[in-house]
Amino acid sequence: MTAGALPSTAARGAVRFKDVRPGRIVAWTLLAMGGIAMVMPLVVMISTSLKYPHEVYDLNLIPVEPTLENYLHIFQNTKFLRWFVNSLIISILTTASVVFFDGLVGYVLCKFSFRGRQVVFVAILSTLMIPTEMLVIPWYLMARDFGWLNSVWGIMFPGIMTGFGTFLMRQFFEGVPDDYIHAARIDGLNEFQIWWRIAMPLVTPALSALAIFTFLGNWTAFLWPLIATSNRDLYTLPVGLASFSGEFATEWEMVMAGASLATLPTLVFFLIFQRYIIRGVMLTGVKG
Amino acid sequence: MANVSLRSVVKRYGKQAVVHGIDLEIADGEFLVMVGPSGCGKSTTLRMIAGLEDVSGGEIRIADRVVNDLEPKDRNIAMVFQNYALYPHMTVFDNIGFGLHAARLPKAEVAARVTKAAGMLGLADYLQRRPAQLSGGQRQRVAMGRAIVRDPAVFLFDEPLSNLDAQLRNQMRTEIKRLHQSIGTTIVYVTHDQVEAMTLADRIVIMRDGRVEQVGAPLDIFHRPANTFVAGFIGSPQMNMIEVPVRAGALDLGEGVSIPVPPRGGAGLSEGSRVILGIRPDDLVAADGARAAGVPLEGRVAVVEPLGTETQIFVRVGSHELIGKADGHHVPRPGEPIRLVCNVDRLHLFDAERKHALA
Ligand SMILES: Nc1ncnc2c1ncn2[C@@H]1O[C@H](COP(=O)(O)OP(=O)(O)OP(=O)(O)O)[C@@H](O)[C@H]1O
Ligand SMILES: [Mg+2]
Repeated sequence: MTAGALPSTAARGAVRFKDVRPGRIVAWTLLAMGGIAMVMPLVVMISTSLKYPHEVYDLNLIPVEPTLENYLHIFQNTKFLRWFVNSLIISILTTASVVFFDGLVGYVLCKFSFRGRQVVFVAILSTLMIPTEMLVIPWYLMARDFGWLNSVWGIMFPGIMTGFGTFLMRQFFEGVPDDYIHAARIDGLNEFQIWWRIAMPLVTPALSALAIFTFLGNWTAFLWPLIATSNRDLYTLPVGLASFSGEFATEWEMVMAGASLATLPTLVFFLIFQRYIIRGVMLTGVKG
Repeated sequence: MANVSLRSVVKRYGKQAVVHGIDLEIADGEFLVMVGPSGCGKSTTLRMIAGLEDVSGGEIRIADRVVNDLEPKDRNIAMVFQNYALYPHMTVFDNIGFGLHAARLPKAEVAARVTKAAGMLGLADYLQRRPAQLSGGQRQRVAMGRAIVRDPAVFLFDEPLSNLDAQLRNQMRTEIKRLHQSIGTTIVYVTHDQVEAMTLADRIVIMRDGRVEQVGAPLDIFHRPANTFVAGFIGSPQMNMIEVPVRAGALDLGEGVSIPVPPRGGAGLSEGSRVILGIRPDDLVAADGARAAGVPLEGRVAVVEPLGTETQIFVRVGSHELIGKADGHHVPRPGEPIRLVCNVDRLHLFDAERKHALA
């Protein structure tokens, strides 16, 4: 997705032919190289997905005999569609939950003063210091004891609220003037409605950013989904795609076809929410 | 329609008191303006009336009902905020109608009332716009529309005009006054602009450091300020205030210049005591013909500020520098000697220690 930033940078540079200075040429070269480095894997992925197995290890970017057979194959002979749906459900539910709960907690930590608020906040922040690898074992033991292994909930539960999101939302709510909340209170909204109908719309850019991060994070999550389920029907896409790597050989053209399809939702998701980010940024630029 | 009364109202944040026991009776239909320097507790007091802040002590009544424990929405008030607090994600229509909508009024009635309020404020053509697409003055109107549409018993304004440029501020000030004259609802209005206070108020409350310094009609406060703080706060340019000794039955301005002790407040002054003499610039005018009645004072011009309609002159009189006025077409030159006349009946005297007016 970082590749998305490239065209706009290039375009901005391109308008100013007048000040072509050596420094700029160096900068453009570096940017172009960076851009190519970003885009290359995507190009290779798509190109490989269109090749027959015998051509996979050739380094040509344009397949000699392009084919869609790999795509047909993964639809017909694997549970690709099922994994796709699993991933979609888990990512969407988790994202919705994160946006809702992190927004709620961030708001309360920001706009309500109560005894122990700082302690709660620091406690939430401190969870950010713990790497996933260390959490996986406790998660596993917990999921096993509750009987959550091999279920959608078992895959989802560690991600339904995040310390990072709570922190992010709290910081953004700092920027919401109290007068909005006062106005809503006079308008007769209860505290939950004030949060949901007034405060949340005011932090749309933060919400969109959080939604994108969360969705991408869950869409590409591998370690925990791999551990939490042994049932092929419950695999998420990354886990399913990894299973194409057999014991003796990896069918790269299949993995790449699956991966190409897997990028589609992230692209769609990004395109949708990116607009909100931009609109949201413009909203916050307005006083009152 | 309602009266509002504050009885020994106190606000504390933790141990720190920011409002120290305010007593105030606001009559039904009155336009009350609270003014004071920044941080004196105006907004805090207003928010307590609105129910947005807890009252730490004392009692607030609206329409003779104690409201200390009532939610803002149950107090029958409406508030206009300094930065308007318009919901940016809603249209003007929804912004104005939001409170009614939240109160579950039927859609048709909401629409009718919003349209009526928008009509009063000249917003009819902007109902489908969002706040970002409005000018500052239009946003200000929307904020007022949101208050009017609720048809409250009391309007609360917190520096509603401070975000507008000078011209628009004057225009909106007049509109607010007109609005009050046509709907006659009680208004409590906070500002730190003394011109707004003077022009809008039926009565002004002057606050400092969480306390009320003086309450009264604008002209009463202007002509009879209770202490040096009020005297300095109301009136522009500021009242000249100088500390002078009483010598030989006159106020000694040094270097041989003196003014007779004024009748008001001067009775009990003993020889040698010190007082603060207050002279409004309007009462100290260049002696050129028509406005020449009063006690003459000789001085020397220091700085001249022509304003068109009049000229402000900083004049060295005795050992003090005073601001006086001259006609607009009379622009003396710095360094020139000048004769001022001073209206002794309008002089103010304040206690040098406790700063209160000597009546
Ligand atoms: N939440 C708070 N916690 C602690 N002190 C506060 C709080 N809110 C306000 N104060 C203090 O209360 C005092 C009065 O504040 P207030 O906002 O009422 O002033 P104001 O008269 O409206 O000033 P301004 O003209 O700048 O708006 C200030 O000294 C301020 O620092
Ligand atoms: Mg204030």
